Amino acid sequence: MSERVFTSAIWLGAGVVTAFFLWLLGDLVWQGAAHLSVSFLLSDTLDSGRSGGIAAILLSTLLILAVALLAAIPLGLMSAVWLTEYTRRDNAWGDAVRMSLDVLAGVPSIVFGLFGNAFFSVYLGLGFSIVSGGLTLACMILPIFIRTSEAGLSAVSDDWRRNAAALGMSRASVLWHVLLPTAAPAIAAGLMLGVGRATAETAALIFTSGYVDRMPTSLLDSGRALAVHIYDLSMNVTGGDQAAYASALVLIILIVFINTGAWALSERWLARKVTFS
Amino acid sequence: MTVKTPTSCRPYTLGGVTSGPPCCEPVPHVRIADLSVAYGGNTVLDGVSLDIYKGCITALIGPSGCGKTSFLSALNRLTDLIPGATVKGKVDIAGLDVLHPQTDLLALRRRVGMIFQKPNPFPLSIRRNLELPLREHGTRNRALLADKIEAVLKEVGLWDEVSDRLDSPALALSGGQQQRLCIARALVLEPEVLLMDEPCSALDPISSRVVEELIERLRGRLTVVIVTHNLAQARRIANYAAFFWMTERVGKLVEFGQCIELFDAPQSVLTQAYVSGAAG
Repeated sequence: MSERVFTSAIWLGAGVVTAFFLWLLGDLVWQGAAHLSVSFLLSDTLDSGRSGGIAAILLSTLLILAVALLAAIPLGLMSAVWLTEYTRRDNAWGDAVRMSLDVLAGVPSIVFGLFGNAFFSVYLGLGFSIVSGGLTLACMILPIFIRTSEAGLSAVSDDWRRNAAALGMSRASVLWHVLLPTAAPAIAAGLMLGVGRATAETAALIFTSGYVDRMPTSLLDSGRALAVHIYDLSMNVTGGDQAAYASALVLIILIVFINTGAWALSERWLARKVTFS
Repeated sequence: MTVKTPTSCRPYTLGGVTSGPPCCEPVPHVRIADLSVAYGGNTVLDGVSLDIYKGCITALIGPSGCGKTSFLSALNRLTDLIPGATVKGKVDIAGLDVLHPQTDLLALRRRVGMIFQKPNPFPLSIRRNLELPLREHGTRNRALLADKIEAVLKEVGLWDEVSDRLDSPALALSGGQQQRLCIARALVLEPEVLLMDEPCSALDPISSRVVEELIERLRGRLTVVIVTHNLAQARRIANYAAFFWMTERVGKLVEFGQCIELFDAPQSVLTQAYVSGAAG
């Protein structure tokens, strides 16, 4: 009897979560699909988004993301490598870095937004721009990305490190040829978590990359990200609901695409550099 | 400690060792003086002095925890990887001061190869496993790489087994094949000394025998130092044997000499008890 109650409770829990998710997704597709078309993706935004499309917004989003990744990937990998390969596990300085990263990972995005505004936009004079927004997102991605990559690298067997050392291989080439490829799935997963968070970000971008819905002409132009667009349409623009639904659907499709792409890339890299039995 | 420097040129015949050039001229290759190893202040090996002879197989025997692996790791400075490890004393390999802080570790480890207990090919293809160390040490010519890889695989007896699947994963090989690949990977750098830490203990008896025969074939070309818990194996392949024992948690060298004498006429009671199976 209690066994059946327990089992039902488990199923119920999972069912409720899945149902909510499906409802959300269904609603999005139901309301958004009608409005979604190629011309919606490729035309300019008109009348604050009530009509027209999201070409400029899509481009701004991708540019912001590109800036964020370009900044976060090298910095993040270097930090993760430093934490695993260049400091001892009990190193106080390393522990301090780990703790600050964990704290940073939990900081609300609005705080990152205000920091980005104060530091990148104002102090560095980058203004409301795609660069400011991208760099702010990079700051947000970094904690998660570094910690997951670090976990991935730590999980690589020490035997390979010893073997490589015994063969007189330098640390750099062990990293490049053995450790990083082996840890690639974890690194990709960390990146995905970060990108997922970044793509859906609104608060950190409002104060850094801004609102402007024109087509950006340079990275120093302000650019409106998809999430900001959705927020604006649903909160500030009456009659913008249809466009908001369609934009949200585009955002979800975009995230799915990026995730699959990164996963496939890491698999390919893994297959090329590392071969497991 | 009893060290008997062999003087007579007695051919070594115990246990069917008939192949390979005789190595009865004891020319010191690795000279170890007053070596001690400590981890975080705890001494695990103390005061070992010993000459390892060129081209011979020297077996290190003794119970677990008596510092054999630490001894081996000090010879190629792999102890540097262990946090808190300190090595004192002197190790001289053909004129190279191993423990000197300025010693080029990459060059040292090219001259002194090491094989571990658990076979550990990199998670790469068979070919890449052998290419990687070669490229690392400056061989880039494709034809030369291919030649060296073929030669070394033939040497370890793997060529016929893997020549048609060099690009398949090394981790798909059997344990014994993986260990031979690891030996090939060490040999491809043409080291002068090969350190082996229980290379057969993770293998089944047949694979173990194959690896053992391979080690015997190295006699005369390389100086081999092998840690083994298999006394029969030590008897079969080693020219010299060093017996380590632990007193008050500190490993010490008890006796060193020709393998045949260490087994059949040990100087120390401890050695006597260990090789006869009464202690350890």
